[in-house]
Amino acid sequence: MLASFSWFQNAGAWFEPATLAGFGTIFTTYWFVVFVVVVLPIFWLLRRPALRLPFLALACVAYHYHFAGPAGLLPIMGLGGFTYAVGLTRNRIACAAGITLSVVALCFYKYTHFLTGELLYLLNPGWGAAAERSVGGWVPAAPPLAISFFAFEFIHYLADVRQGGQPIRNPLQFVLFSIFFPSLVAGPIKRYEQFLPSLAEGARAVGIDDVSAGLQRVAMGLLKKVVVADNLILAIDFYAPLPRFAALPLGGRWLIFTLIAVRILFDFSGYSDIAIGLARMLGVRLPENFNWPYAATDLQQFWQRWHISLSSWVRDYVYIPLGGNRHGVWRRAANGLMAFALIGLWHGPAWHFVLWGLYHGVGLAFCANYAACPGVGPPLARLLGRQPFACWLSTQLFAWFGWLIFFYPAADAWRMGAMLFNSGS
Amino acid sequence: MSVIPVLRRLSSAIATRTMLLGVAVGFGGLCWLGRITAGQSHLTHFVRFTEWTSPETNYYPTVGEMMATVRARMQPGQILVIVGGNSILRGAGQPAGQVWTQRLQTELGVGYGVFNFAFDGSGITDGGAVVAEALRREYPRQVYIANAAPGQPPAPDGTGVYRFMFWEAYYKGLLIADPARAAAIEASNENLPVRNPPGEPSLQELRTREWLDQFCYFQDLWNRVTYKDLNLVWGFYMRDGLQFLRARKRYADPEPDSTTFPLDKRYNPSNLAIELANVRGCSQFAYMSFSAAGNPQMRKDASGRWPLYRPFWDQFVAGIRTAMPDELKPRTLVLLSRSSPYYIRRLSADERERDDLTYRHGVEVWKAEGYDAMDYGSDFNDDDYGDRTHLTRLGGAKLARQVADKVRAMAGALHYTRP
Repeated sequence: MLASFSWFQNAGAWFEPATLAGFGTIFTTYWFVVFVVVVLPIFWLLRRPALRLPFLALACVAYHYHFAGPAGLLPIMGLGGFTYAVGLTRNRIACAAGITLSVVALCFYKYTHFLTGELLYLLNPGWGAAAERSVGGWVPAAPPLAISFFAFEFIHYLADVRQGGQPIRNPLQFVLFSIFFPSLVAGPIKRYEQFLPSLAEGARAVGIDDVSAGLQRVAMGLLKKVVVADNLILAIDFYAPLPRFAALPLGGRWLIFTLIAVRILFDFSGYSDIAIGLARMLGVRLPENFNWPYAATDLQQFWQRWHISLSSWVRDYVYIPLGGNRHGVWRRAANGLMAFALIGLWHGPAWHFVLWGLYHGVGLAFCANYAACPGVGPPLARLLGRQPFACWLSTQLFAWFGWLIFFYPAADAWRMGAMLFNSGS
Repeated sequence: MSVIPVLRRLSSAIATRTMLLGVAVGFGGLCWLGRITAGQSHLTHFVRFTEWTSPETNYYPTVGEMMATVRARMQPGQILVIVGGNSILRGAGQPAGQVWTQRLQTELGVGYGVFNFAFDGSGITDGGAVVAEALRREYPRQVYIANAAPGQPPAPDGTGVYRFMFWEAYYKGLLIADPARAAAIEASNENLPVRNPPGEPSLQELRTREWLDQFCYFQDLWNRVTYKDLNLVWGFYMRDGLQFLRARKRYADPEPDSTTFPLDKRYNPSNLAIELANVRGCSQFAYMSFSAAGNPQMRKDASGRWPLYRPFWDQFVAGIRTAMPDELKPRTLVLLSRSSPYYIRRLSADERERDDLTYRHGVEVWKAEGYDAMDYGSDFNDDDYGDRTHLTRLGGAKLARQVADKVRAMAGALHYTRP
């Protein structure tokens, strides 16, 4: 359906917000259908790993070239080449330089306009305008395809090598780790220690069971994304803007509020299912990204079940290096806030994403510490301990209110939230 | 070795293979169903495409279903008359039962079969044109009618969202292999960006879809299901609860009767300046000259005539020359739709003259390129129009009479009928 392309504009915001004109839609393009129909059977027919891996790498390059264009290939080639070379040295300083380069590249391509036009402008409008004039012209209109994903994967790789991990010596394996097409644009964010053995196993012995399981997963993902989420996007986009939302009866507002939460889960987890299923059809097992997050009964659990590959990445490479929960309540809270602000910002260069991250950071800090608050803390903890339904409800309401902040400007989100408890407008 | 694990593995292997076989058979079965569906007419009681059966509500009519509709309705010996073009010929503002093409059918009589395949915003090379071309061998006695603004060159592979129809027919081998048109398509697409603006698929993506559809026929099957059984795409037109799930055949043609609109709704005074600019726009490039300083000017020449602006007409001629294969041009009737007299009489005398000349010259240009053409509206009145361009049922009836005369004349000239 042609119309689906416009629905995906918003869905795309999940994956590469600054380039949402289509990257989030890749799995539902006809080009991709043809690509998969050609690539998978050839991969299966080749039989020998020595043939399968080069073929798969070629296919990944073709895929990346098609969707990113020649200009989009350069950043990943440059950054990937540098990361590969630095990893081989196993030198701690070189690895740190490689990590810095990935961070700088990500900030440059994705956040320059935000940093100059928003952050610097807030501090001093003159500085912001001057910076935007001098730097803004250098930044491409859209960041390179999947930079949020491959930059995080390169940082993980170099950080682990720096800590004594084995570098990837085979350039073919490194290429596949960098641009493995199923996970390229929407994750899950891979860990090379898990990915490479799985890739080798897939190349050696992808079987009919893998194909079958992968196909079922892809079908489930398509059902979630195309049938449920994309239809919901149409209805939500119609009803959720404030004037129409305000005109709805109270029950209608709660329905839209619920549908927003359902849509984002089905949209993103559906996309992850497709990615995981496609990889499985190549014999590769990607990490899970979702595990019934709306069944979580506390916020910590929620984040162990929602976008798992991102939250675990931030835990391992930001939160723990910052000190994690080792240096007292306040330091733990500050570390959590920083980690979640980053999670928010990762979704896109906009204040409402930062606010959404901080909102969850505050929520987690509260969850971790409320029981120790003198007075109300212990009885509240005892009460919630006896009421799992109340725990679930409060967790989900908190998370679902967060989606209003995620999708809409903060003032609108606040008003929409208030309207859920007030039949007026 | 225990028997149970072996049995379990065997059972799992059988289940896996059965599942994959089921997927393959299911997919093949759906393609087969799509192919069958493409040959069947499901548009029962078809009069025209409405908002429930158009891209506005995510319904993309296929060339296959339009061809099937023709086949299901045409009687032996009838001359096929297919109407394409935009909302004017679709009959916007004319209620169900009083659409101008129904009147045209009455005027022409049983010797003709009239089909209205016009869409809002579509052009002369869209839906109806593609269907007529695809049916050229089956129904060689055919007339294709579409409307255009004077001097508006058509896109060789269709307009905007309706382009998919051309490419559907192209990949299914329904069109004439015309090198001139192919070259024009190539030239027109050269400058297209790889990614079209947000909301529009790239041409490459559209062509890939239609290429796949020649094997799978998924569009025909989808339309059949959504029209007759269950609609699965939410739309704001169908926004009440789960109403959107209703089959599209259950929706009535919602077109209002524009004769019931008060005059200030049909000719909104607050839009007068914009509409007059649109009316002038039709002719301002057609007759334009340049001052000594090189500035464009609307001025008669020394002999008191409006000077034709050649580059404009040359570009137009190049466009219409390659819009259709030569063999289809003589059976194509191009209608040039004049604006409502409500606006024309508000032009200056010179502007009225220039406007009239543009239409008359436009007709001559189309004819010179091998098409048949006529303009209409010069003898219509305010009540014949629902707004600047769309006709009321009254105007539609007048148009039907004029077009019927023209179609009969064409049928004679093309030797479809005996003189």
